[in-house]
Amino acid sequence: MSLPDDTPKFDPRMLEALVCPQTHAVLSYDAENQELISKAAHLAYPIRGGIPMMLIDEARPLE
Amino acid sequence: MTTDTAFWDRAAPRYARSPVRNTAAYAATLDRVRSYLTETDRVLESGCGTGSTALKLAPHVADYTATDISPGMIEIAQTKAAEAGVPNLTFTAAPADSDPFEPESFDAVLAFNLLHLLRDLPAGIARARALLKPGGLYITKSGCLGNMNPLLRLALPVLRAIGKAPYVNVFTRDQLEAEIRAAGFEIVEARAFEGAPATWFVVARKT
Repeated sequence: MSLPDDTPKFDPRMLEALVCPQTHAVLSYDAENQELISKAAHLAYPIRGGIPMMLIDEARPLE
Repeated sequence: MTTDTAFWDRAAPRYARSPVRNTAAYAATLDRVRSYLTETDRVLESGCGTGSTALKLAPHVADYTATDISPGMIEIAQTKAAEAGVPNLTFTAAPADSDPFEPESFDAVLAFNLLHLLRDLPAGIARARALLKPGGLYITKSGCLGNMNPLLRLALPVLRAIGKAPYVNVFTRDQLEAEIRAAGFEIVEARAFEGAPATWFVVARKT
């Protein structure tokens, strides 16, 4: 997925501090899909306009 | 979508346009908060709304992270920050009582007009404490409905039922301070500001 040039980008340095709000476990960054993956919670949290959306209702369940 | 997120998302555009009601008390509160912050601090603000306070405080610290349960509020905040050009300010949408960050990563956790909106107050305070470094400061400003006119308290469930008010947790100043102390803090300062008697400002240090 390509983003328009004027879209604010997620700063990967934020990952150093961010954890999953459900499990408080570490996240991995999927740059292509603009998602933060919580393996422990089986959830993918979207990044929209550079902003991590760390809410269950926004998250995509992983198989 | 949780009812809290839906309520605050719906409120976001109007909230962003509405001016601060008591500008003198707001300015006095900001001055007081600033006096506790240093330019090397990493700061978290929980329940930042559309980011007006974050924009004012971020230039005084090293790193400022602001969260809100409402993506609608956060998106407006991000736009305002981009326009203002505040490079050390980042936003995250997150549950109000479970900010998703590494333990002991902040020198100060701020929560303005938030604690009375939490469905689980002890959980929210405990989370803030976990995120604070040892000796870190928890700086809050909360509506103490337990000290307010009982008629307003009676009206709240009605307003909530028709979608005109959010969930509100009723406590007194004393009850709030007791909750904060019980979580593992010492109270450093507790006061109201002139013109805003129902809003209780508390600065607490993690013990």
